[in-house]
Amino acid sequence: MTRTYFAYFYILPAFLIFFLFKLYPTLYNFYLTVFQWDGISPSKEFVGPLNYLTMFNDYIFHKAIVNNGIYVGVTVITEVGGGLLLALLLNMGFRGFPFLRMLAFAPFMVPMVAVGILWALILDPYVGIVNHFLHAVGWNQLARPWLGHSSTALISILFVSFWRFVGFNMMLFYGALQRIPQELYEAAHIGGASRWQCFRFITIPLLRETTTVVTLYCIIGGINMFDLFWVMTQGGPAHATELLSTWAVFQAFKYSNMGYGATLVVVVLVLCMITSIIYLGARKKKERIEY
Amino acid sequence: MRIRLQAGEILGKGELILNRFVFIGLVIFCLWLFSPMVWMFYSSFKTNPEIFMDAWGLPKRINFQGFVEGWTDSNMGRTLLNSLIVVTTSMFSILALALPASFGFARLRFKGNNLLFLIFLSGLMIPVQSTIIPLYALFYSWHWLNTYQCVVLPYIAHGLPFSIFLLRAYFYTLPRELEDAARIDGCSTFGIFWRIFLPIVKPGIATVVIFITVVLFNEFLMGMLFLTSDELKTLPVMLYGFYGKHFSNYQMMFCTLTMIIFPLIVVFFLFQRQFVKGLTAGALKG
Repeated sequence: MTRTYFAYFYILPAFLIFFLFKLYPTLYNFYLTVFQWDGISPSKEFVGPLNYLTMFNDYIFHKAIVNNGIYVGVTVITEVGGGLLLALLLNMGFRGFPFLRMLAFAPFMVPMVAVGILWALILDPYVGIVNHFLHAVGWNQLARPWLGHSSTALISILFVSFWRFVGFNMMLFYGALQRIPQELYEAAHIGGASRWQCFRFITIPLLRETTTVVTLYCIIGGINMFDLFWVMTQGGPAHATELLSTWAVFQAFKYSNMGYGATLVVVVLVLCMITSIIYLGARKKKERIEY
Repeated sequence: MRIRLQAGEILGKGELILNRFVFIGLVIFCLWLFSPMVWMFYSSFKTNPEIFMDAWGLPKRINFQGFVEGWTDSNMGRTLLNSLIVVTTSMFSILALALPASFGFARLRFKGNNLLFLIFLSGLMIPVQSTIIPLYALFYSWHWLNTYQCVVLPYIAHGLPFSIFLLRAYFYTLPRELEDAARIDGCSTFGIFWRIFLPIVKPGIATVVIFITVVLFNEFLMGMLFLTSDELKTLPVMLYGFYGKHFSNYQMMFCTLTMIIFPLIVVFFLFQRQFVKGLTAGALKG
C-alpha cells in the first residue's frame, strides 16, 4: 500500500534530527558513565562502576541531592501553593485585576540569566536595596551579603525563584478557574449550597488536574534547575547552593571529568523520568473530569 | 470599589471589609512583584557614585552614559543578531519538521506509528543536561564548537517533542469528513495536509511559536558551553559573561539589564493576551 510507505516521509526528517541530537546523546551519556575521560583525548579509560561508587561517597553529591530536594519541596509549597492562592484571590472580580495579573506575570518574561543578575544586584551588599532598607529601618545586624553567606544563599535563591514563577503559576490556575462553567455555581446556589461548599465540591475537584500538572512542572523544573543557581552563586559559597546540575557541569567542564559528570547527569535524568512516569501512571488510573 | 457579584452570591458586610483588606494586600503584592523592574529602570540613569550614595534615590539628572558604554562593551548589536539568527532558524526548522510529523502521527496509518510517537514522547522527559556532555565531545571532534549549527541543531531536537505532541492533538481533533471530502475532490494526502489542515491548526502553530521562542531565547546551559566566542554568543550567554567581567560597574550592569528587560516588558504588555495564552497553553498541554 502506497499510503503506508508515504507516511514515513512525514515522520522521518523530524525523527532523524531528534534521534541524532537528543536521543543518541542521551544514550551515549549512559555509556560514558563507565569511563574516565577528559572529553578531548582520543582514548577513554574503562573504569566500570567506579564513577557510581565515587558518587555515592561524594559528600558534595549528597549536598546537591539535599539542595535539589529542598528546592523542589519549598517551591512546590511556595510557588504552586502561592500561585493557587493568588489565582483564587484574583478571581474574585475586583476592578483593575486584569492589570494586577499582568504585573504578577511580568517577572516570567524576564530571561532567567537576567533574573539572576538583577537579584544579585538587589541583594548586593553595597548597592542592593535589601540591605539599604534594613539599614534604613535600623535592623543593621540583619544586613549581610545575602549570596555570599552559606547560611542565607539558598534561601535567597528560593525567594528569587518564587518571585519569578508565582505569577506564571497564578496564570495557569487562573485560566483553569475561568474555564469552570458559571452554571455549576448557579445550580449549586439554587440547591442551597454555601460558598464554602461551592468551593469544596466544585472549585477544588475541577482544579485537581491543573494542580497536578503545575506541581509536576515544578518538581521537574526543580530537579533539572541550573541557570538561576549558576548565575547567582555557581553552587557556592562552600557548595551551600550546589545542585546536581551545577555539580555535573563543574565536574565535566571545569575539572574535565566527563565520566563523572555524565554519572551525575544520569541521576538528574532518572529522577525526571521517575517523576514523569509516576505522573503518567496516576493520570491513566484516574478518570479525567470533563467540563 | 465595585464588586462584581458572582451569580446569585450575596456578600455580607463582614465579608466586604475582609475583601477590602484582601484587595489592598493583592495590590501591594503585585506591585512588589513588579518593583524590581522599576528600580532597575530608574537606577540605570544614575552614575556610579549616585548608586553608591543612595540606592533608592531617583537619578539627579537623566544620564545616558551607561547605555552607550553598555551597548558597545557588551557587543549588544551582534549578540541580538546572534539570538535572532539562532532562534528563528531553530523555530522555522521545528515547524517545518514538526508539522508534517504531527500530521502523520494524527492522520496517517502506518506500521510503528504508536512506537515512534512514544519515542518522541519520551523526549519530553529528557532534560537538556543529559545531552550536553556527549554533544560537547561530538562537536569538539567535528570542530563545530563556536558555530551556529552546534546550538541550532540541538535546539531543534529539543523543541520537536513538545511541538509534535501539541500539534498532533490539534490535527487529531479535526473531523474525518473534511479529509474524505477533499479526497473525493481529488486532493492528494499532501494537498490535504498543506491546503486544508494547515490553515485550521494556525492557533496551535501560534502556541508552539510563542512557547518555543521564549524557551529557546532563554536557553543558557548549552549556549554557555558551546558558544565561547564573543562573535557568536546569544543573549543569555553574553549577559552571563558580561556580568562576570563588569559586576562591580553597577551603572553599566543596570543599563545593560534595562536594555534587555525593558523592551521585553513593553512587548509583553502590548501582546499580553497572546503571550499569556501561548505560554500557559504550552505549559499545560506539553
